[in-house]
Amino acid sequence: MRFWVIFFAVASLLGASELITSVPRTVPHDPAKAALGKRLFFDTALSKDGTQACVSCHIIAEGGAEPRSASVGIKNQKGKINAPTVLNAVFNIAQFWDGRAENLQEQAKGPIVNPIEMGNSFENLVATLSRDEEYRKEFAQLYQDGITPDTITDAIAQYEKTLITPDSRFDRYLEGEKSALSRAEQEGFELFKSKGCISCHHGVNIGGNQYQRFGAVIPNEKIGMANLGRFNVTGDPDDKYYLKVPTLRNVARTAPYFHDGSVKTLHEAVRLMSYHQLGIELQSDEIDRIVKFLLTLNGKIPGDDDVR
Amino acid sequence: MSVSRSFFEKYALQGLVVSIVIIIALFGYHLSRNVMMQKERHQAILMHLNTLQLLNQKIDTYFSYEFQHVNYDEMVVSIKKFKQELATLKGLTERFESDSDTQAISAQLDRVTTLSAKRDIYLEKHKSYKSVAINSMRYLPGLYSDLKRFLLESNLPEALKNRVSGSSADTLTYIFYSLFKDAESESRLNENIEALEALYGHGKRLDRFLYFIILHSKNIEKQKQNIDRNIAKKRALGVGAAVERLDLRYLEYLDNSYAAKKRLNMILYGVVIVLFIALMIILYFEQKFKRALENLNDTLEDRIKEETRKRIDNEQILMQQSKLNAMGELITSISHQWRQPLNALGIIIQDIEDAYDFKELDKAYIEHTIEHSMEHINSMSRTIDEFRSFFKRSDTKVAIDVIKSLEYAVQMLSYRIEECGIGLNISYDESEVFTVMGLRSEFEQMMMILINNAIDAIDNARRSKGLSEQGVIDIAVTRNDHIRIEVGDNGIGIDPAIADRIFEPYYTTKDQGEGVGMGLYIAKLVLENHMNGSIRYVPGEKTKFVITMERI
Repeated sequence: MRFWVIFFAVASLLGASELITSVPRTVPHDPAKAALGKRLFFDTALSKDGTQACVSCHIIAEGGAEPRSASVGIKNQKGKINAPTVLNAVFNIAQFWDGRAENLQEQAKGPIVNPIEMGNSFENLVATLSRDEEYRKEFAQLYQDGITPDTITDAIAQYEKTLITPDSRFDRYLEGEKSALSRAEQEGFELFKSKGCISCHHGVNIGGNQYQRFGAVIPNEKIGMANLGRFNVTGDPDDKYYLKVPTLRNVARTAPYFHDGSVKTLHEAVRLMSYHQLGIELQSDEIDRIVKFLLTLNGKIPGDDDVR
Repeated sequence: MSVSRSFFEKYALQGLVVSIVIIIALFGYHLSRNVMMQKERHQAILMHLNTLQLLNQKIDTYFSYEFQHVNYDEMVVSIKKFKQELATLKGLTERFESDSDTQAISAQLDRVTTLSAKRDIYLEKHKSYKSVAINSMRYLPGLYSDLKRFLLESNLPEALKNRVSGSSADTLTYIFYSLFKDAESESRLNENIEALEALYGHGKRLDRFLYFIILHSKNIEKQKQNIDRNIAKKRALGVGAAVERLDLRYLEYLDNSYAAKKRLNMILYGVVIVLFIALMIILYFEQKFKRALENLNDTLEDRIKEETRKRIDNEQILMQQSKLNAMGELITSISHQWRQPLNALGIIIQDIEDAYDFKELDKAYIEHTIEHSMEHINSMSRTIDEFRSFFKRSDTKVAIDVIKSLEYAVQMLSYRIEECGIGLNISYDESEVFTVMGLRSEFEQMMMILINNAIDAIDNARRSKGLSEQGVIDIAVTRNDHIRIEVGDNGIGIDPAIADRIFEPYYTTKDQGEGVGMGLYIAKLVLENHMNGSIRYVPGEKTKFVITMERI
């Protein structure tokens, strides 16, 4: 019995030959709740002083992340980390750079009460939203419990499930439309695979399914040791500086790069990654081709019409 | 057997049957639900436990050295599934019959949950280590061949070239050997890496080759150690053992509960069977009982018909009897009526002889005598006719002139009235007509009964109480919606204690031999059955009967 189980398990593993899979058109979600979540996502009432909304740092139209190296919260406080993109976040193994939130809903709770992000408390937020008649009505319609921390974050999570970017040129290429990528872009993909980027950046999100230390092969003190990463979650010294491998989808839109937002260009990011993570020195033209490939990962960003 | 059953008798049986049916249904439902639900639940739990084991084994296979790229999304899916299975099992095993089983299984589930959460973290680490190791593994052969090409072209000393080439080749070899946990290979690998490190300083290009070969070799070694340590930690967790223990604990619970459940179910089945038999018996007897009741009912109907018929017969007999009574009175009456004309006739006849003796017997005398005699004979004849008409049985209803019939009845009893010296007044409005529909002779008879009773009462009073004042019978006939006849007398009266029994048959206050107690009963019968009327006794100083009849 055990032999066969292992045999089939291994066989099925081997069967998963495609390392990168395309983004599905939709992820199961509740449209009505998603619409409510969208309102919340764009509402500055979520922050204590009414200045910050989710969208303040996760600028959807610009790739779901932010152009600043680190987020700026209420009272212009500067955060320590570059906001990861909200686009396709649903496919991530976990949320936040250190994966401390198991899912989108749990993630949504974080920034609301983070003193330098929205600086709010759920008690206050529930009270604030309860003063709005429309929110009261909508929550009452969609949730038995009305306005609670769980229902607020669930609605936001439902909305975030709609924030996926299918139909990138690379996905079309994966689905068989070989002409979707130019020759240089295809070469870039080949380099991406052969140089080993794909060992971490794979799966539907081209990343986002494991943790890795910045400087896995060749240490980097400046960027690599800026954040304790997984250690904050597990408390295991072995986990120090391990961070979630970010998705490469829409990567061209999510500059600046890395968790500290210290790198402005893709070229430089690819160079640093290959050196510190792979222990190789790429030629400049190789990097260019890889960057060209990365540019094909921009998917269709959900517009205003996609969620109502 | 009592014919009419009380409420309890009526509904106790149905109640019993219904409650037994309900109990059987409840037990049956409970049993089947119990059996089915338990069965379904156990099957579900066993299925999920099996899935959990399979998933666990699948996740175990992820902790492998496979130096090729793998899509880790699948591992994420497996781990999510494993968590889901645990949550499902948690829900399914929430409540068992015995607390100790519930607690034990719940505790074991919690243990698996805790351990698997740690295991998931180890898997994440495994992925991290392996991803990094894979690349170094892939680079080394390329680096080595690049190095060889470089050495061929370079003009470094041959001895150095050989040492570089040899140590690099050995490093690569022992790296692969060391993957199989060969302690010898590991130490040889370290020796060779050290040897390579010692070769630095012979030109920038060679240093660069050496740097990367050493870098990746060390990286592999480091990641291998990480992976080994990680796998050892994961093994020490014993998730598989915990899952197996959960499985065993559940099977143990099933064994425990099976016997108990079997016993309980046997008892329940027994109860259901006994109740069912009881129900059958009850239904059998109920059926029998019903049949008996139906039979009784049939008989009862017959009996009622019979009784009714008998009663009707009796009534007729009674009517006849009372008619005979009346006839006796009538004969007396006739004899009273006839006495005077008979006397007169006798005198007339005797007078004929005297007339002859005194030579008075002339034509005129004879004519006068005949005229006189015929008057008396006619009178007698008339009396007979009238009596005959009284006895003529009539079944057809005719219009009755109440006053005429009343006067006739009075006339019939006039000898008694005179005998007792009773004053009888009939008062009515002479401008009115009092007509009712009915059987004339019966009506007249009834009136006679009432007047006769009144005479008796006055006679009785006179004899027992020494009534000094004149006996009076007042008959008043009035008319409004109905014809109303009041018959009152100042006789002995009716004892209030028996007032409500006077209309019963065979009830009499008169001495034995004087009456049979049928008078008022017959009066009532006549009125109610043939005249559409009623009679009631009005208590008061004077005895008073009120007859009401529909007028036409």
